[in-house]
Amino acid sequence: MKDIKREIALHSFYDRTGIANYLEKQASKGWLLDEMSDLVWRFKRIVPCDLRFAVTYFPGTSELEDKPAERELAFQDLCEHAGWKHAASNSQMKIFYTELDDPTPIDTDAAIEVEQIHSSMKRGLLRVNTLFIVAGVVELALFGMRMSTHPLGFLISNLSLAGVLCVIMMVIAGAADLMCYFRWLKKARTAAELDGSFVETKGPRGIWLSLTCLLLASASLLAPYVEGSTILGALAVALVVAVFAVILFQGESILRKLGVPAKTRFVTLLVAGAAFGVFTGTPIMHVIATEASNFEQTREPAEYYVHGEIVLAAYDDELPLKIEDLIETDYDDYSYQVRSVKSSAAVEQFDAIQSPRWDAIEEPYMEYTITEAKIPALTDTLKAITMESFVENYLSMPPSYEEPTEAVAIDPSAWQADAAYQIYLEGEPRMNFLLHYGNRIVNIGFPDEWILDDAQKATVGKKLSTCPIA
Amino acid sequence: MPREKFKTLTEQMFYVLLCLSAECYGMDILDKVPAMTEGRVKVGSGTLYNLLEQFLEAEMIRETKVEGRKRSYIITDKGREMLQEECERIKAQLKDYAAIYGEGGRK
Repeated sequence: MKDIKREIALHSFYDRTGIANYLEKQASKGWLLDEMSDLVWRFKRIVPCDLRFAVTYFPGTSELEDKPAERELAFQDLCEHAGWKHAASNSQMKIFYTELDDPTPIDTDAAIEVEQIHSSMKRGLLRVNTLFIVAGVVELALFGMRMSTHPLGFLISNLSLAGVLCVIMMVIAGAADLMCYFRWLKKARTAAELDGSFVETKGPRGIWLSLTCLLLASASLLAPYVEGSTILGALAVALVVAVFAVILFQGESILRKLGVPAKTRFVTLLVAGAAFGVFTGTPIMHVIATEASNFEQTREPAEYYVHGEIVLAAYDDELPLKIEDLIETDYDDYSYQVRSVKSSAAVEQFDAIQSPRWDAIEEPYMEYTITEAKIPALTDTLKAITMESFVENYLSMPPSYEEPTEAVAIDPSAWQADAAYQIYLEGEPRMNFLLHYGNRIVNIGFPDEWILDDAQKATVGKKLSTCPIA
Repeated sequence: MPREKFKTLTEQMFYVLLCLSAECYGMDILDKVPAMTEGRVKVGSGTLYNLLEQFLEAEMIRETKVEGRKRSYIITDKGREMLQEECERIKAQLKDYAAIYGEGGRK
């Protein structure tokens, strides 16, 4: 049977009522708190007994001191004289216990106690919430960078969406705790002033509500799209975050045991907060980039063929639109390839190409990408993103650097579209089109020699505006 | 509007100051106050520590001896004055009470 157990500290710093109640329950089960940090409480095994706990706050404690000051020890002496034994301390919080049935409480003046809690909170809150804010800002900055450089890759990745949600909820959780605290403080000050009573503290409902929302939202985002690589990526991210969280919150206690001076520990803690954001953000970004760019290679080529000295693949995937739907052709050696299918809670994308073999390069080809906003509010953003890449990614053969490529609005009616755009290079139209169908955007390209007629445009519109994507 | 500090004394403040009419260690006050009041008033060790700090800062008491971590205190003239004011206030309250309910508390 183990004699030591460790638990994650789940109570708010100021929740002296909840903490005392919890420790009394633990004592009745045979566990006595003997060490505590911001993140972890350590319990040692005792004979189960009925103890009374008191949580009190000593604002005079400084993290910059290596050992308790004389004042602190004098305070503890007073408490011990009254029958209270010191169990553990964490910065300004001190926990005592007694076996007496009817002990005089350590704090008997509500007004003084409330101000002691508030003075301590100003220092404790500052530390913990600063870490949350610093880490959260760094994380959001990293996500912002990714969003600005690869907006579609960001939106199409469940991990990135869940990551942003996690960070936002982390900040909300910290803010919710603050709100709960200040609401209690106002009530407690009023009650202490009016009738000298102490308003008991309640558990951190705001935090748990936020964390529950976080878990449900992340699970709902990820669950329908779970693939092997995503699970591995998510586990890797969770492991990195957990390791850094432990190092961060246990860091002070670890450094103290190593004999690092107090001021160095304090500075290290602040720097660690920023590093926490960067070093958890970096692997998260890497996994997101990897996840967003990978296409699960479950589709094997139908066959391989040799052209000259090169081995090439030919595919036989199901495509919603084929060249045969538009023209009659005798060529029957086409490769039908689905290049990628990506899906997140926000965006879906399908990318395909039908191409002749290299020994029949004169035969027409066709390639298209269908992008759809699953959240209607994202439609305009998606249109802007796809328009930008429509112009920037057009590759003319041969490449032309004389004039920039531009997208020109054309008559969408033949395409049965809401809007249509065509690439123009050096003033000449190219057979590359961007079509809007509600919240669906289709980018389709043909050889420049193939001038589509209205019937063909209508077939393109009919097939690609409604086909399923994922 | 919050009460001005020490404008009126709580029972605990009153009896701590009363104990310090003679030189006394902080720890001893924890035992003296319930003894003096037959258990009616008790001062928590944390509250006592804070009150002693506040009285020192307000110059209502002063330190007389330091032996390791044990410190003894005694009330100052200012503290005695505030104690006297509080006593007068309580007497005034008693008088007002007696005017309504009589000396014995029964009308």
